[in-house]
Amino acid sequence: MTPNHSSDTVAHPRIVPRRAAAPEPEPVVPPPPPRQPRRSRRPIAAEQQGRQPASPIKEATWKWYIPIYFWLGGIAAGSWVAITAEDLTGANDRDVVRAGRYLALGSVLGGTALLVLDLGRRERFLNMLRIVRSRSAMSLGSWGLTEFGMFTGVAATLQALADGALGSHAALERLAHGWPGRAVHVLGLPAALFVGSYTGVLLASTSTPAWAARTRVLGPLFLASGTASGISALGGVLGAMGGARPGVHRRLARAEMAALAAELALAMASHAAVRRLPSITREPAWQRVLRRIAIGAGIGVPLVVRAAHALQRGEPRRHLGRRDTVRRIRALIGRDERSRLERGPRGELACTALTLAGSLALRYLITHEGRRSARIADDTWTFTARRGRAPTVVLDRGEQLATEQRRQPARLRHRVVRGTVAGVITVAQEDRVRIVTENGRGYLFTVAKRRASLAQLERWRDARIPVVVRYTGIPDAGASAERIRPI
Amino acid sequence: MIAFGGRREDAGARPMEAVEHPRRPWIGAPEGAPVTEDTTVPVTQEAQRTSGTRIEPGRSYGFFTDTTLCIGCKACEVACKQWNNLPAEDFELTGASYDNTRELSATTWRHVAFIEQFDAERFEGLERPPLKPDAMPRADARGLRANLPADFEPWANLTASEQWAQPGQRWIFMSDVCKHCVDAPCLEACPTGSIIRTEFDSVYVQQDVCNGCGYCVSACPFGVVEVAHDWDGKAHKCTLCYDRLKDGLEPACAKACPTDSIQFGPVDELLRRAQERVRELRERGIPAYLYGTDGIMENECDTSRLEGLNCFFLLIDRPEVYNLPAVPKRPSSNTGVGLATSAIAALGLTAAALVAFAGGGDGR
Repeated sequence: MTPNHSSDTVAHPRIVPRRAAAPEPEPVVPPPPPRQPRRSRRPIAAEQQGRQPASPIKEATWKWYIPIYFWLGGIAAGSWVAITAEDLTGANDRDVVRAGRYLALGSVLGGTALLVLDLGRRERFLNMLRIVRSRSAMSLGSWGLTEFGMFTGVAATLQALADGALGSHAALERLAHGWPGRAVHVLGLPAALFVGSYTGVLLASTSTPAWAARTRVLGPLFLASGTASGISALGGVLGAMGGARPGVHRRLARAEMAALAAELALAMASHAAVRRLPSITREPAWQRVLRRIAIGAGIGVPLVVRAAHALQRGEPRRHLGRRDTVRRIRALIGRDERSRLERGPRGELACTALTLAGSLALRYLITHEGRRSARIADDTWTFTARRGRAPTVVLDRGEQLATEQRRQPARLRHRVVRGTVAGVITVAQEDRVRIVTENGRGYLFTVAKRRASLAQLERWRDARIPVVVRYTGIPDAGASAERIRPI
Repeated sequence: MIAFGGRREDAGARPMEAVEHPRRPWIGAPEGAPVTEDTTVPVTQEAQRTSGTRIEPGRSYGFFTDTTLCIGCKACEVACKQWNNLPAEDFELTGASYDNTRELSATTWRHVAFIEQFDAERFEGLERPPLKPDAMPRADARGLRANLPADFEPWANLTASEQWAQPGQRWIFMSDVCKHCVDAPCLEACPTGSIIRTEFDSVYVQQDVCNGCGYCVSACPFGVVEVAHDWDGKAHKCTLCYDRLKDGLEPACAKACPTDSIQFGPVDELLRRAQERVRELRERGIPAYLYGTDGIMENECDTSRLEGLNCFFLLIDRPEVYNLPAVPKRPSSNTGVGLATSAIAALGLTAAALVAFAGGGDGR
């Protein structure tokens, strides 16, 4: 009743005169700019409205603890692989075994602490061991880490006993370095390998496209990277302490070289698997640079250095540094009676630092790529799009079939008298049409009157546009296409 | 007509002191009579009145959300927040239509998506500059329209059916919710066993067990479940009103929905209703189809990897338009593959390490 409620045509007194007066000044006013020749039929996208389209999935809630845990778990696994190989091949250098055992325990404890810190309810961390669930990588990993943790605990305890925690006894030494100690290593090896690799599987078993798209690669990549960094850390520890026997660094360098070569290949394969994801093609420059540095400096450079060392003939050049003074003093006071001092080849510590940093960077990078991928909706659309196959038989089989037999055997599908089928038109003549589904199955239909013109059918045929046909009757025996539309 | 315990009469007639049933105070046992405790079937069946269905354990229940009936009133969002006592979000104007909730979260278990599908040409008149400042008396709709062509009519006199069939001329809504997948990835991922399947075939997070590891968050292909790090550190999502179902009440959102866009019921019955509705809409020329029914009238999507969803949707555009993946994947199917390739790599690396160590004696 109020003027506000009146319709536009009756209108506001201020507006109506303006409209009425419009023709009068028209000659004076310059002509309006020409209409845009092409009218966009494109819907206004979210980006054009100035906002980020919401992603259909949530990004992982994990904080920075998690990539560091992945890294530490890899180091623990790698050093365990090294000490087991040391045992099994009979080299059995006690310094290597000692350093490897302590390194494994320390990394596992540190990693576990980070895992607990990341929980929303830290006091409930033991709930992880309530159940075993083979379909949950997290559940498997919790159990694997527990098991591996026990092995590292036993091994480190043995080592502490051999090192004189309860005084020095020959029996304790034999226990730690004899067959019981070796048995612990061998029995713990599967757990170690599992802990080194499951973290990659953990990432892959999610809905995050950048992780799930490289399911096959992530586990092996994390294991190779962990093995390389574990062996490298071991070499670094031995080098820093000094006094390793000749050949030790050579062995470690050779093993690390193999692991680094695998890591390099897998890192490339891993990137190739996600290269086409929108979040990677539109990645920020720093991410690309970090990847190149991680692969080049973190894998490539140590690989070359280690290979040079491993394949070098003759005695490696000794590198004497500041620490040698310390070691000579230790030798003087009788703490280190070995005279064959070896601190590892030139650049040992720098190389270790590169390998470890590269491994950490790689894990951070992959974690970050996943988080970014989860934020970018296009990644999920790419990852979850229908690929290759047109909508197959659209099951319109009547309510009885649908509700009682949700999964009908394929052989029954085409016997129903009414149905829907999707495919490409191969022949269109007058009012008849032949549809071939993606399975290569052909159907003949008569198109009901005015459902589609011959011109339309021919256009769809020529463009190979898939169509959905709803029909009644038995295909090939006079079925009539009640509706036909492109998809 | 429908046998119903008569909550109103009983509760009105009897003072609250006489009530004996601790969890269902309105039932009111007659004086002296022993309370028969049937723990499986809810005693009251209010759902029979409000949604025409009895709630019995052992049957699959879910929602059928018909997006063509949704009017974007957000009553479901409010009812859900109220019943489940969920805290408010930070108040923020997103500028995305009338949707300031944006997404499902730990504290939002129903979310009404507003999807504006207007062609750019619909706004051509609006973009047309330049109005002299005095030419527009007031910056209101009338002022804008004064400058438009006389025949400008945003809805172009389309009927509802025609609008729905024309992607450039419509505004569609969808009330999104946890899909309660038949094979739920979150449940499969949960390492604590906190996420369980209830007797109503819904997926439920046990709050006294969850330790907030967040793996379900990454596993969910629909971005439903979330860990409330700034609240209680646990994972939260729609419970299908588990507490209400136990007492024979339909979920709060379905009860609140004024247009029956959200229908609650046994999944098989909902499927039947949904198919009828799709047929009816298709006859009217609206390209309706179902999302989340594992093959039944699904033609733009494929939810068979999850064996279908107990809460399914009727859609009229590609699923991506509603922020739903066309082919939701099942993350747990990657676990076996990943472990297998890892095992091969483990063998290879161990062998390489053995060879490397074996060749590396003193001085060699």
